[in-house]
Amino acid sequence: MMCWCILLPHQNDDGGWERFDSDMEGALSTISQTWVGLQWLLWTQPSYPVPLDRTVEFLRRTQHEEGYWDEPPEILEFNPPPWMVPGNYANQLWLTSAVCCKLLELGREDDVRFDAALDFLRSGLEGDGFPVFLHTHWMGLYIFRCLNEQTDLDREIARGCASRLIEDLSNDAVDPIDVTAIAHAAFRSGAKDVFDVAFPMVVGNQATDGGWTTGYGDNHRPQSTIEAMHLAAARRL
Amino acid sequence: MDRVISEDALERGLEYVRRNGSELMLALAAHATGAVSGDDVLVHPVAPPK
Repeated sequence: MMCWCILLPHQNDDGGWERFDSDMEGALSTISQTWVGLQWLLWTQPSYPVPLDRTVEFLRRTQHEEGYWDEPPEILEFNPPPWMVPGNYANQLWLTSAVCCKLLELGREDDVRFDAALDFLRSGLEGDGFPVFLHTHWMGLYIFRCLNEQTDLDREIARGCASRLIEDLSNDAVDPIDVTAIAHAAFRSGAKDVFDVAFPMVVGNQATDGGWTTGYGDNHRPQSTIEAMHLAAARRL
Repeated sequence: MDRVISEDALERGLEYVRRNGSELMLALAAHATGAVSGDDVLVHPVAPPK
């Protein structure tokens, strides 16, 4: 099949994806960008299955024995931001939650050792939530609400994630691009209480120039806009 | 509070990405509006494959 394309130049020969933004230089396949690649494939649902199959195979190969995903050590040659530094437990938790969330949405969770990844995530619970990153909470909300067989701990994790998200949203402590991601996860997982808080904020985060705002910098505003547009598209389906 | 993102809001969003985003971003935005399909995004004469 002809592959002169827009998405595929970002997928490497090993099946992983390289950064498309300015967060890190270098063509190395990273878990954080491979998660974004899964998001793009989830949004666009191409009938050509090879890019997704290659992505899933990359993730199968890079899953650690203990069930988690982490950025490769070679990433340190590229001066990554703190949230991409390997060997950090909180980073491993958010990366694993991100991969699991998208694989579950795509129905490809059986292609990796998903149970081991879930056990790793469950072990990361501290009190009502996960350490450091809010991201882990909306990924966790989706994952632990959407499992076919939920344990009591899974329900507890989902409730804890929802409480943390609602609290931060209510305190206006969430960047607009993350508000959209939370609304998306809440919508897809049926977490109405979270969605009802997040979605009106998404609507209100569109600026007069048509783009959605973000505090991550103007270079991220197109991405913020696309996230909101795909949330709208998901609600139309 | 609004319960929907209107079609007009989506059009304005698409215009914003057209003015400020890369070709990749524009393709993903256009997909959200239904203007292109997933295969249009994958198969597009823009850049050679790796």
